[in-house]
Amino acid sequence: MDLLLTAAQVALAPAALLAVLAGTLLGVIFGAIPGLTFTVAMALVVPMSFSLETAPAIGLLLGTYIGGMTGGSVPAILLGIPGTPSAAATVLDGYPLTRRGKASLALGTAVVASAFGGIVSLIVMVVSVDMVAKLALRFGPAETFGLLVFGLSTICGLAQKSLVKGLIAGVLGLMVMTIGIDEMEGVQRLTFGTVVMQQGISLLVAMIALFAVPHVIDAFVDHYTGGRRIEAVADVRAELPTIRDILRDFWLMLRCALLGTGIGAIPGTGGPIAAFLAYAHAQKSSKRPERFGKGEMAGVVAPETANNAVTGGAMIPLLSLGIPGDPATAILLSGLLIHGLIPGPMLFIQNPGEIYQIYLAIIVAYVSVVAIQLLGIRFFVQVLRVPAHLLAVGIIIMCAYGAFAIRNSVFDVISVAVLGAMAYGLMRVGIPLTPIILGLVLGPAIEREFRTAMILSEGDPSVFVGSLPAAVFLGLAVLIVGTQVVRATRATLSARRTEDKASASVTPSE
Amino acid sequence: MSAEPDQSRRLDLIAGGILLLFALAWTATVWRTVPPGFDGIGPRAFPFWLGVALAVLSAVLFGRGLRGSPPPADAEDDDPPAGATVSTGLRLGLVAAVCGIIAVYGVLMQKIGFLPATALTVAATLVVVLGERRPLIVAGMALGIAVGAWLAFGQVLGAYMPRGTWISLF
Amino acid sequence: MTKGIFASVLVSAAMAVGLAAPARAEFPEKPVEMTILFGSTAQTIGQLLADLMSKHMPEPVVPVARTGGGGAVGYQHVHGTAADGYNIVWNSNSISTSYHGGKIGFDHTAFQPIAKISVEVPAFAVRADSGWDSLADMAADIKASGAKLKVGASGKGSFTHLSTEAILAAVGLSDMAVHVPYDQGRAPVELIAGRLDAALQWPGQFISHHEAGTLKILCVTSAKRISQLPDVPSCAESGAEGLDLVMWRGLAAPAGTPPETVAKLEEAAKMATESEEFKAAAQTIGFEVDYADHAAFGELIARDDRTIADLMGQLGLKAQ
Repeated sequence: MDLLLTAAQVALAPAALLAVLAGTLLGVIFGAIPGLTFTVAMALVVPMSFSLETAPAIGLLLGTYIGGMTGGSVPAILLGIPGTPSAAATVLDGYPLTRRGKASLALGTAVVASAFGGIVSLIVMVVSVDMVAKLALRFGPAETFGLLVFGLSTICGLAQKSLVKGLIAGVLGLMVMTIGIDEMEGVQRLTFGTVVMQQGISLLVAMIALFAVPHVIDAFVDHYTGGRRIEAVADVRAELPTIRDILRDFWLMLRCALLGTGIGAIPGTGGPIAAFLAYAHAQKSSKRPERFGKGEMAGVVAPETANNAVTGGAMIPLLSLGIPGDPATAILLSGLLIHGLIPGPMLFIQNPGEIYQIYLAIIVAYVSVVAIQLLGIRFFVQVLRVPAHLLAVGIIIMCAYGAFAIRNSVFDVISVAVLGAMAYGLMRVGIPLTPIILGLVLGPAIEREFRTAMILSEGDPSVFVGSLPAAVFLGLAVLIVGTQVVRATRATLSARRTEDKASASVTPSE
Repeated sequence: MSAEPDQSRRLDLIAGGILLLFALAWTATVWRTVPPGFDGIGPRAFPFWLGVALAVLSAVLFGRGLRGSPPPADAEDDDPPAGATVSTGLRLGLVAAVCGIIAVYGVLMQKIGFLPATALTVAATLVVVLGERRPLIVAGMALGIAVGAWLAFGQVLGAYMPRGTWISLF
Repeated sequence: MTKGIFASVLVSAAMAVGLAAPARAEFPEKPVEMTILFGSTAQTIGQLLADLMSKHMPEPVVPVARTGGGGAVGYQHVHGTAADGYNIVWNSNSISTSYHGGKIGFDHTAFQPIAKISVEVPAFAVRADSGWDSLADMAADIKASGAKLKVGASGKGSFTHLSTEAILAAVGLSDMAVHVPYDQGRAPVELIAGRLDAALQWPGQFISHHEAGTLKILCVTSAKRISQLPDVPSCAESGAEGLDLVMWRGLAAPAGTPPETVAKLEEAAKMATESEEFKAAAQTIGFEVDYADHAAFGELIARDDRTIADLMGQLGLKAQ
């Protein structure tokens, strides 16, 4: 208790609070701009934290991480362009809500869900860090592969109109991510002998191309046809969710928060996967699944709770094992190291005070996020008042610079242009874009885990059924895809039969 | 999409055909250029089998277009696609314009620096692509976006802004 | 109307060209860009170095991350810039692994060394319950049992992979081991969970587990022990005779950079490495400060390049 009080004195000192607040604000802004994610923001913040005391430095980094995770939902809901890959699932129902004039309601709900997810994951972390870390240890390459394939199978839920087209989209996403250097064998794949292609296609670049470029083109097309986009006439009142709105989805939020925490704790997974799984879960458990994709609030609540719960989950292996689960936590690790905190089993013994400071900083960060976002909503929604085609010009600049800033590479900007044109073409022929994102997110991890598992087992594929978690996840995935294929085939056959009958009765009269 | 079965059939044919060709080219390239690796599952396996999977799926789509089976249920569409009446030529022109602008902007940023490149790109987009003729709007947006972004990201937040290799202003 | 706008933009652009024309002032008259090739600790050290160098220069040194392709993209970028000292690269042995692995078409001679800054020494760890206290123990045990040793390191052709292979060769286990490639950070978990028998990574990832007794660091790959782990023997002491592999980091500019420019950067780098902040960071992040001037650094790069070329040749990884 003394430790907690001392830690509170340090972590709640004005300088530390200010650092968390500044970090959160920075994170929200960076998160809200596609390409400039919290990873970029945290890399920028690390040098600033060199000269700070330990508590403000940790607060600054954690605030940036958490702010960035929630900031991604702002453009996802307002413009249908996710600010971070973790917010890609939020677009599915968040953007339709905006088009129905419920932008601020969706934004408000998203931020409350985010904070809820974050806090629940923190509680899980405080209560059971050792246990969760031990469970995470059991997730080797084979088990993680099973989990990822299970995540991939949610494509079927995202491809309602045509299973074939949904699968095509998913495969395209997986294919794009194989371009570049294969890190495992150091082999170049589809680089055509060039150096620029060796960096491969960044996930963020592909995300901007898939969401932002078609948005801009459509806005320009509408400008020429004089058609007004629906959001241009949308109501931009600042309408916030009531407590009752939020409590209605309480159990869903709790389930998604636990899901996100668990996934965050497994190295090699991350926010986007948690968000899509949570979305699929929300749809499956909903009483009205048919309304998903058309502006169902639960479709915003679920992914936003889960992706923020990942932050707490990812802290578990980071702090207790010293293992960064993603690039953002890797930067956090450097930030901790430079202040003499070496994450790992000894951290809890040698630096218990700092551990409490970290916990407190996370709580402060979520309080700041809620305050900043709720205050910010009335300003964010003003974006919708800007004529769509002029806004599109601004989006071009933001996204092109955002793409550049990922790795300070012009190649990435040009990739946005090329992939964007392709994405628009795919959209026009009816290929859904969301499964592509899922393929992009999961592609590298699926391949890496599969190959690592095979190397470990010396080429014996039975590892994937020999381990219980792996077998369960893979079995579920097969079940989901199998039932969908059967259902789709049956639907097509019966549709053809009725059509045959119809045409048979029509033909003679022609 | 469901309004005209012919339309959706035609799209399936186009999409299936192009994707099938792409998948075959991809698979052939992978087979020729990526080494199989030593331990059975090497660097070639994933891209190769993904190419095969795409080929199969797009062949199914192509076949569906040929036979003209209607897309399965759930055909009601929530909103009409943007500018349903617009001509294909104009649409292609706008796609080329938007993607061209992004690519040129990326190169310009590197060559002449963020500020001038941004102002120039915004002005050119407004005038050439959108036909905006009010000088106040053009100049205001060009300078506003360029200076605003430069101040916010480069100066306040400390992100790296390309300075320009041909000329550098700042 | 529109013509007017374009004209004014053009005029201002033309003025800018005029203004930027070289006034032949003394270096540096604008910020120096330091290209950083990798994320995580390499990036943190680079950022700190840039920060400290800026204090000793009239213009700041700006760290710019150009990651991707295992360093190839950043090297290519700096290689393509003018040799005027405004573009420098935070380099490492990766220049040799990238070149010999066929990722880039130029080798270390395309760069003018500025100064060597630091050294990182990989550590070789095994499970605490393995019962092995030295490489020799491990080798004897594996040879007796006939089971293959599963060793985790980064991807094929990376520095940690080459070091791993060098250790295995030195103790005669080359044909009795499986290299399992892991991206950074994962190897210690896999080791603790028992899916690996050994792993070679940067010591920072192992130290906490070593102290907690869940892992045992057998040795470090340098010829001498390192300050971070004074009780851990070198691999040469532990059974891998003659082994001495370290990962150096330093600064380089495109070849042909004027000597007086190099001297200024070298001086700033020297001051940075002598600062208390840099020394403190070395302890916490886990690297050794090891400054050397451009001439000594150049010799080291050339010597190391030959070693790496030989190693990669033996492993069949040499593409050029």
